[in-house]
Amino acid sequence: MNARHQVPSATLIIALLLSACQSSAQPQGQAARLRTVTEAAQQELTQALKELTGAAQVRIDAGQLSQSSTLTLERTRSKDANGVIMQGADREMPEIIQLRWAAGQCKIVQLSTGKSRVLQQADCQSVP
Amino acid sequence: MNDEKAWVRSFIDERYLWYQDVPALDASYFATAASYFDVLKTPAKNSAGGDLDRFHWSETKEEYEQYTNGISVDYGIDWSRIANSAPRNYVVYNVEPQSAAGLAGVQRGDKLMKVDGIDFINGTDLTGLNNGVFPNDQAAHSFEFQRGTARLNFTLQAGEYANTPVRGAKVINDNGTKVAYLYFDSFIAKSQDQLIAAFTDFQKQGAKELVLDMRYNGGGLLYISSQLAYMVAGSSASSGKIFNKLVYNDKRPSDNFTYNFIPYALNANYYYDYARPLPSLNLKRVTLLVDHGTASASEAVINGLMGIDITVNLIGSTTYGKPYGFSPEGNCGRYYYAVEFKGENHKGFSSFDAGFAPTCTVKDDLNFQLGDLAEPRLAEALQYLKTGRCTTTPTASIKALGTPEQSSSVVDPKPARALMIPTQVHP
Repeated sequence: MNARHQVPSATLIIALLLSACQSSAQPQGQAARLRTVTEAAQQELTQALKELTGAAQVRIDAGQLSQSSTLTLERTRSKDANGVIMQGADREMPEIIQLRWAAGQCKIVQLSTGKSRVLQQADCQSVP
Repeated sequence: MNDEKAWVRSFIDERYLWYQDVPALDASYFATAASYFDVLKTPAKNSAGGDLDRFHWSETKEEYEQYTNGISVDYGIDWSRIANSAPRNYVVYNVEPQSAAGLAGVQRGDKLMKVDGIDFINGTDLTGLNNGVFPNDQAAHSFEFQRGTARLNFTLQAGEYANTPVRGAKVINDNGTKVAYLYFDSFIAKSQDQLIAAFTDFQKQGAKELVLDMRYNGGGLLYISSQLAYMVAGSSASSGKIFNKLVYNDKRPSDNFTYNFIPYALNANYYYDYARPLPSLNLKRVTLLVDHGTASASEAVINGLMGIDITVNLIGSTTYGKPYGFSPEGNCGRYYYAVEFKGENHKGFSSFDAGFAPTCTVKDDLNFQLGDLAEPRLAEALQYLKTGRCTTTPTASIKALGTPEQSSSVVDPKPARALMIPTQVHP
């Protein structure tokens, strides 16, 4: 396997190729973390993630963004009647979301697409 | 509707691994595209005489489009449903540490006696029992458990909690031999860092053997399974070798995809993070504690290691048997999962559709906590490492899928995560 970990599906390959084109310009600003996590910030973040991913439901622990500038989102796995995961050999790579501080604003960026959303409620600070 | 059914048929004809075996069926006999999809699969049998394809399924767009960063919403209890009708018998076999149940102190082995004051074993208020055991809301419910001779009461409120995929990592000094023990529950994204931390510690402590407890691990992300296998085998055994080759049907050979053993952590763009080489124990043999719940990516670890001549000893009961996988495809508000690939190891082997049989057959005893040296499967593993012999002889009595157990103390769990699954207790 070469340096680039191979990605699973044609769709994702295309998505990542696109992101590779876009990422020649790094996302604006600096990586950031949340200073505090309020309920309002958690709700706003959840809504922003729904918009970015097109998800019907997003369950997150926003506290992760107070320790790291990235959030890893993966699909919730359904289980069969015996409790065994239905999609147990999953090629899909999780979505990586990054928190960034740019031009006095805190925003989240979906790395696979470069799409972003500004967070009004978040109290965040850039990290080295 | 006819267009949807035509799409489903086309999807099967192009993408299904066993497309040649799918019978021609009149779509008009089926009310929906989903019900038509349900029968568009191979009638072939697996090596144990069961259906070759036990995996065909679909779900709604709403069910599909749910994301998390490792958060679940329930009590955090996995139930062994020994008897679902009166006299009912539910015993806890697994508890998520950060869940309501885990934080309250509910333990593996606790037997459910009452729910909201209703006799769980013989009670007739099924609505009350189901509301408590499988609630649709996050209201508080009271539970009475029997633990040994004691009765314990808990008030539990289903809620969000962070999953803990890597648990119970420790090094056992077994008469001078350092044996690492790792309870690994699921291949989710956050497990990469937790596995690295555990194996780094094992390495520092000089572990020479590894017991990997994956008895309830139904799989998940394949790249994590490749990393785990690397951390067991190390560079010299795995370099340049195939961990898991995904082989698609003969219409789409260009989709075949090879996972090698991944020797690095992956960064946020899924590139190798060369600053973070994975730790490794460089083992020539590994012991896994397994059960019917050991499936998919977990079995890929077993098969991948066997493919590079690592000795893999299995203690417990036969694994699930799922050398297959799929990528969902959506159409008209529904996502369809038809088996698309089989996963071969370095030697081209993938024929474990009836599961891997155990080296030593040992029942799962819920009276013991996982990681307890007296827990029968771990005890057998330690004994086998020393002697190369089983204390129990593998027999033909390995239970088939879904066979109910009658014993209240020694059982192979039938998993059921409490809350938000369409399961009910019966009269």
